[in-house]
Amino acid sequence: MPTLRDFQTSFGASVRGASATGLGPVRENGIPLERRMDVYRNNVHSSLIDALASAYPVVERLVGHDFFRAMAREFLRAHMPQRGTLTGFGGELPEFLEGFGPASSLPYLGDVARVDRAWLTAYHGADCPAIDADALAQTAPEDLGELRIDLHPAVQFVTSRYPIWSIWRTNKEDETPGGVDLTSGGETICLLRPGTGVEVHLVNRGTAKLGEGLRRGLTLGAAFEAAHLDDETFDLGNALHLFLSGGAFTRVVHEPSFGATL
Amino acid sequence: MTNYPAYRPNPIPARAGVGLKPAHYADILETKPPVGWFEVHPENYMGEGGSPHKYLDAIRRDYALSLHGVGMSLGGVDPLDGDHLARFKSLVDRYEPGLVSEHLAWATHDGDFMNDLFPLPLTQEALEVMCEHVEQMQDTLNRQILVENPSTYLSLEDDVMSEPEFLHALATKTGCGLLLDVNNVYVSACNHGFDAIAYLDEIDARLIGEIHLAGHAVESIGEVELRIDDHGSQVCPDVWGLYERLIMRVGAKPTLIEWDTNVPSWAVLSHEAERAQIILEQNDLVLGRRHGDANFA
Repeated sequence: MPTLRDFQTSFGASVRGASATGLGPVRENGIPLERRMDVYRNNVHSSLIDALASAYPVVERLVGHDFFRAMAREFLRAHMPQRGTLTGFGGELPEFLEGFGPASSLPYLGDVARVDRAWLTAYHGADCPAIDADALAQTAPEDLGELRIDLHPAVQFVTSRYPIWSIWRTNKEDETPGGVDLTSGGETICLLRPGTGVEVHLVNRGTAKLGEGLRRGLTLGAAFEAAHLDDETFDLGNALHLFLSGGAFTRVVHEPSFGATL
Repeated sequence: MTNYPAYRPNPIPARAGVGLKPAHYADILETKPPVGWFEVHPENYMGEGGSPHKYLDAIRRDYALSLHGVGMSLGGVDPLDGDHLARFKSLVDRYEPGLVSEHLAWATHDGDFMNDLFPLPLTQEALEVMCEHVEQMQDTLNRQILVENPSTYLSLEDDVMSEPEFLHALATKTGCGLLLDVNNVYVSACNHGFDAIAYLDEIDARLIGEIHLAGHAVESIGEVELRIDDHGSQVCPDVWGLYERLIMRVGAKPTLIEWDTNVPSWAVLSHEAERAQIILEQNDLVLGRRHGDANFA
């Protein structure tokens, strides 16, 4: 009789494709062991592939049902879930797709997966009350640069060298996805969750830089500098309006550069 | 063994309940159907916030709730995942469920979670592993849990006890209760050739805290049928018969209709729950009524 550890090691290997050995004597009762193991093999793979498909709906629509399932089966070989919940499962898929030979004709697929992933992260992000849209109006204009602003946990950004918003949106929403000119340049997406519904906005690259800077703890002034350096067309007023109306800010602290906390 | 106090706020009533699916959130909140209670898989609410918690909060305000885990891997030889246990506990603290349950099964090995309910050899070694993990889960949550019998497709000649014997020993050693899944008993009985009635008759009525009912699929392998527990259809007539016989013996117990794949409309699902509710009311021993007796004389 195998030990419980040996039994479970053999069973796990068999579920993942090895022939069923090392389980000790099995009561076949008219049904061969391999056919019995097939039930478990199928349960595991089909449930995990379904979970990936529901986490990456736009990737699935772009590559088609059959290609997605074959790709997901390859992904699972090296990326079984590591937690007892499938919430958050499959975070490595964008990087996996970029190295997946059969998908090399779709070089933007990894970024499409990043948008699907960002959508799910926004959807499940922690709840936190947003500040009022007029909260910044109470700050004297000369003090604005010294504000530190906390971003809502649900807020996500994806910057791509491909027209990722156009590709993602038409494959998410349109009955017949439209063509996208891949030479039209990169696009940046900002995902907001003002209530429980996720909003997907096309923004300029500077807006993402500003948000990422604030999230790293930069003052509004420093985050603006970084955004403007990266994107000369960046407009701070438009970005703040989008963030405030989309519930992206949860806390504002006025922190003069020195002296205040001493 | 520790005796945990009975759980008081919003206990699960001995009525029919339904497995809660996101497809039915809106119907339930709009129509407030007269269902006894709802059950969810806590794993589906392990995101930090957003829509799933908003709906579960709203439904919890009007209904008793049960948390039925599928990812703890109580029968795994590796230690329980402390992070998973902590996430589970935070859901218990937040939603104050009337019942908490898990499975006589394993799914995690060497760090990989394989998202299914794998069978255990029914040996002394496996019993010790299950006891240790059930005690750890009960100690962490500071409450009794129920352990469910799984559907199995494999049984081992090394088994030294039957599944009812294993479950009784587990309950005796840990103080846990049992979640008796009648469909699983039927599926396993057909797949392994044991008598489902004898299995159900053997279960100590005092240990049964909850009952599950669900549909299953039938797959033909050559001349032989293998039954597969997919929770994807109505409860089959044989399982209704076993359920009715069980309830006549043990009295009314909280009974859940599970339907997790090919999820039907709320109307179809609630009709299944009404069918269980009728059987429960005909056999309500607490009220001393047995309206159904004439049918079985």
